[in-house]
Amino acid sequence: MNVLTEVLSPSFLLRDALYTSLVIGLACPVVGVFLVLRRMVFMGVALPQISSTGVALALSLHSLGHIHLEHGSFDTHALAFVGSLTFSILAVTALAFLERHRVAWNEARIGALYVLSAATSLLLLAKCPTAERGWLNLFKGEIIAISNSDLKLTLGAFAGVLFLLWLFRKEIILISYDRELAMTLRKVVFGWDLLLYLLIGLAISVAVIAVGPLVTFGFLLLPPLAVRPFAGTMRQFVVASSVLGGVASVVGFVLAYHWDLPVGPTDVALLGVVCGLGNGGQWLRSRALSSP
Amino acid sequence: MPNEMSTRLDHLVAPDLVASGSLTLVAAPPSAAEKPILCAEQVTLAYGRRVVLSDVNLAIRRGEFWALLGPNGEGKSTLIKALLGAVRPTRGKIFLRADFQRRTRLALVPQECEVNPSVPTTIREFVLGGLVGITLERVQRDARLKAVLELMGIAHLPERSLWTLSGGQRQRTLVARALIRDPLLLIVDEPTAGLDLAAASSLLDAITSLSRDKGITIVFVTHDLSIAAKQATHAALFRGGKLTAGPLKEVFTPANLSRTFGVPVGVHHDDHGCVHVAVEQAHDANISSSPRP
Amino acid sequence: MISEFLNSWPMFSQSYLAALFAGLLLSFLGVIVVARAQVFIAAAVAQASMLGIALDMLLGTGQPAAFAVAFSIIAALATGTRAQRSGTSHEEVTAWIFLLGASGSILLLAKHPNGLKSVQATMASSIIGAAAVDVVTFATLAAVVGGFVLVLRQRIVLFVSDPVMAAAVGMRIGAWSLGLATALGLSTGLVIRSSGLIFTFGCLVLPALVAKNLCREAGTMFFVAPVVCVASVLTGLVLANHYDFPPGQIIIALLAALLVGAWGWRKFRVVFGGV
Repeated sequence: MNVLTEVLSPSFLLRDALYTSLVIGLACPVVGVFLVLRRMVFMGVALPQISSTGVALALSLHSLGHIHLEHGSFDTHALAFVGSLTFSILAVTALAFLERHRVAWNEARIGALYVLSAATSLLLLAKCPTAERGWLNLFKGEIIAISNSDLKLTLGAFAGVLFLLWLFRKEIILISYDRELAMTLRKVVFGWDLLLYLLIGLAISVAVIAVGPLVTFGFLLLPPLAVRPFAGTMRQFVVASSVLGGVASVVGFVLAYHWDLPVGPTDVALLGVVCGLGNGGQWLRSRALSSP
Repeated sequence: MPNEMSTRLDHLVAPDLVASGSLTLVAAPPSAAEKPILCAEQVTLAYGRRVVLSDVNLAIRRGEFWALLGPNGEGKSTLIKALLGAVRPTRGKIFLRADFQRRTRLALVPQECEVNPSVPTTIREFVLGGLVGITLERVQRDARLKAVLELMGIAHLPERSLWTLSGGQRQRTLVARALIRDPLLLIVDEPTAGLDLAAASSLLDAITSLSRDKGITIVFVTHDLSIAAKQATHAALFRGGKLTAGPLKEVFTPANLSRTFGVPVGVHHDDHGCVHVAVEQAHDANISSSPRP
Repeated sequence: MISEFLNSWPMFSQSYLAALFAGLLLSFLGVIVVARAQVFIAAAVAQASMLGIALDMLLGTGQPAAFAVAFSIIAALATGTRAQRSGTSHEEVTAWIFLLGASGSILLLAKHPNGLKSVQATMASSIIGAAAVDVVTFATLAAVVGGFVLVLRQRIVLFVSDPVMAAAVGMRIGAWSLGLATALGLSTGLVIRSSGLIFTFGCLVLPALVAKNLCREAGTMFFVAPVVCVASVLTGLVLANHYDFPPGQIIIALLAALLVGAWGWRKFRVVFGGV
């Protein structure tokens, strides 16, 4: 109880980290709902990895002296963000292009990109010990080092992404559920796909910079997967996923703070347990209902 | 013994193969005393605790053409899976005659091509996949392949990718894969679903000729009363978890059909012994589902 | 470049041979994984074996291979069986196992001295350091699995492409699923310990994906995938030796580049060959 009071106190030293965690916990599941809807669960796994390759590239180039930064105007964090965003957008554009031209099936495309990006990250970092340290922190999902500027960036980016998702929700849901009907209604399916992918890419690159790839794909996927068996409508699906993500981010933070564990993996493990229990409960319910 | 009989495929393959006994026996005329090929006794089928079918009794003999009829969700496919050994009965037993136990003379034509689309495959490889569990020499294997592809009218496409075929061609490939096993019992699960009229009719002709001309025992799942009335010798009607099964003339009664399909169905037998069925609608508007014998 | 590689052979022969045999073993199994359209199962199984290694470090039992194999087999069984009863798709189960494995391994070792470094080392591990016992194990497994898939490839193709028909012709589908999941778990668990997560996952899926795009028949994939993998491993080892890069990652980058080429070739065949 003391820990909870301490964490929720306005003077809490790590409040920026807590707020960022909360923002990501509330917003990432909303983006993840669309990945689950379109049966692109693995994109939620691969994109954060690809995004972190962008970070690795930026940090390596800086570390090897290919990029010079003037102190105070553009720090390494911003450089990492540029790398992350560039790779995310390139990856989603490439995936949209490959999907449009039906090159391989979805899982194969994403799997290949995933393993390539993971290998490239390690190759890039093989000769840059300083860059490797920064990347290792990302890999660990150590949220506590988040600064106020990170919080603002995360808040601003997610506000924009969520606003656009809300504004174009009808079109995006239509192309997700029934592409043929969308084409019949003369919707530009490729354009809406691209917009959705770009929003997903932006959300992921911002989240990766703040909390690392593991926590990002945890918050993207696990709340929607936990909620899906119980949600009756799209609205319930989105709201319940977001609420679960928000609650898990705070509870995970408190537990990690109390037991001195890394926050990100604690959040993901907590969500994993909730997801497992939810689906297990649904399985038991379906068995009970199917009894004569 | 093998030389005393000729095979159903023997006129399609090299005569020396048949003479050497490497291909199959021909069917003698069925007799009532002959043991059933496939027999279900007091079978109950269930998923978890949900019972799908109960107290199923069925005896399928050589040369018979069975039509399995009933609305969707009544357990037709479940019974097929159980007959194939993919679903285990919760009660009762399903017997395969001793000469069918190894399943080398049993084949399935599924409702649609459920092949995993991520597997690259040609018609040749796909059809040869039907030979799993059967040991043949290369020359015999190639002869069988040629024979079934010709029988199904796709002999000119052996190297074509399965995924570039039309729906009708794909269904014919499925039948070819079943026939390459040289089956004595062929289980066919609604093979015309999703096909246009011409493709469906052509495929049905091909399958029914197998029973008529070559004496293959067929278990045919369908919604179509006219196919059953025209081709079947026996029928099984599914309703409410129960099965009514037997010779066509005994099972195809107005009461049985009306109970199964939930609409009034008229049945009459013509002078040639053919069964005709017609769905009777209100206001005397009769829609015939089987206009010809 | 090649003479440099040959000069390095006496020093690194065990690592080189381990990489070759591990690649061979994984590429055989990868054809089955890819043909079943379950690419990410390989990632989830690999991640689960990391959890096993982490648990072994935490408990201090000194049996990382046993833990890795046990966790891999459990994950392969959980993802291999289709959990459809409650509407849960295999991809959801796979994602769940992947995330639980990734977060669990970090959490277990969060307070262990050098724990996180070990997790990262296993992630980034790059073959160098394989022992003689690894070479023998991988060679034996590659021979057994290779012999099995080459002899029974017609049955395997029918099983992965059309399980209903496979059951109809008398194949025991449950036993086959169990056997293949066990083989996948065992191989992944053993290889990941000495070769790292990325090499393991990459060698499982990339050669098979390349073969899938080059071959017209599934049966041929069982020959092409191992050839592609062995050629890439050899080339990767030569390049890594010359440029002083981690070999595992170079091999995976090569295989990924080959896949892009294979996609292009397939597209060319479709457009100009009408295949």
